[in-house]
Amino acid sequence: MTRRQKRILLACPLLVFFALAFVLTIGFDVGRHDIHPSSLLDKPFPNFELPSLHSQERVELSDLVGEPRLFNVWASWCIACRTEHDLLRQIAERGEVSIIGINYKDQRLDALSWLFDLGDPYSISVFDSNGDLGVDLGVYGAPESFLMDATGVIRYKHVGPLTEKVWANEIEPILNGWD
Amino acid sequence: MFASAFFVLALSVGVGVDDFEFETQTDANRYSSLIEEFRCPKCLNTNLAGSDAPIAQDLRRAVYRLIVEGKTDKEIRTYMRERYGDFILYNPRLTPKTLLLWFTPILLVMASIWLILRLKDSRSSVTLTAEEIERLRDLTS
Repeated sequence: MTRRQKRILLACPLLVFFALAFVLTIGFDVGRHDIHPSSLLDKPFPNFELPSLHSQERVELSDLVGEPRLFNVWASWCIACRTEHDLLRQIAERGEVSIIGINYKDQRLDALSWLFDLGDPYSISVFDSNGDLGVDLGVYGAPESFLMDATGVIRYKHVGPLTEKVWANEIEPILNGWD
Repeated sequence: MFASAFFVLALSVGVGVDDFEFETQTDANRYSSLIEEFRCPKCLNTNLAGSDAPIAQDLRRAVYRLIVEGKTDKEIRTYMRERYGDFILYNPRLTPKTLLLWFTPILLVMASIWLILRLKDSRSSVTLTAEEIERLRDLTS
């Protein structure tokens, strides 16, 4: 074996290391982005028929299509939902978009007293007690929010609590575009 | 008597897995293998079958519902992927993003074979200079 060949051979483990590091870095990156999939974007909002949170009335998707709606998945056991609640109330007070509450895997009494204590920003609340609508929406934790346009198509999805920044930079521009 | 009563009971309830009842053994098997196949979205490294997380229970119920509705395995996989992303598939699809994942092992094996062959080659054909041949002749004579 010549000296050159030996040198190449010695460099091999290092090369393999860098190659693996490269591949794994990309791999972890792919994984991280796919945790928040957006494949329901530009698809129709899944059909549902659920009881209202406040009464025994049934609410269907078809009752809600016809104007833009911000669906907000929340629960009284969800700590992070508290942090976005003030913002939701402000949005509702300003009347910028009608907010539909999806009360997710919750107890009805807990949910109602939560709204009584903290204020109710929802024009309509549906009660998804076993999380079936949640599965249909690809929800894996509250809070999550979905912006539906007047034709019933999902145009934006946000995972985690809504913030002023998300509202001003992401959602408001879409709403303004529709006016 | 008991045995026949038991038999009738078994017939009437169909095939049960978890809390679900299936009309056929095939559907029950499909259910079991699908929940093995999907990753629980919240638990990072457990499948739906092995997780007690509420979301895993909900997704198992969804798999059951889709099977009862007559969906094929492929349709169920698409349903899950559309909602929970590639993350939910333990068996990743072949996409441009996952090319490296699929082909790196093959590339590595091919590279190693190439390297081994090369080393073998170079070992069998050692080239000596004229002086070295002279020395070799001296030493072996």
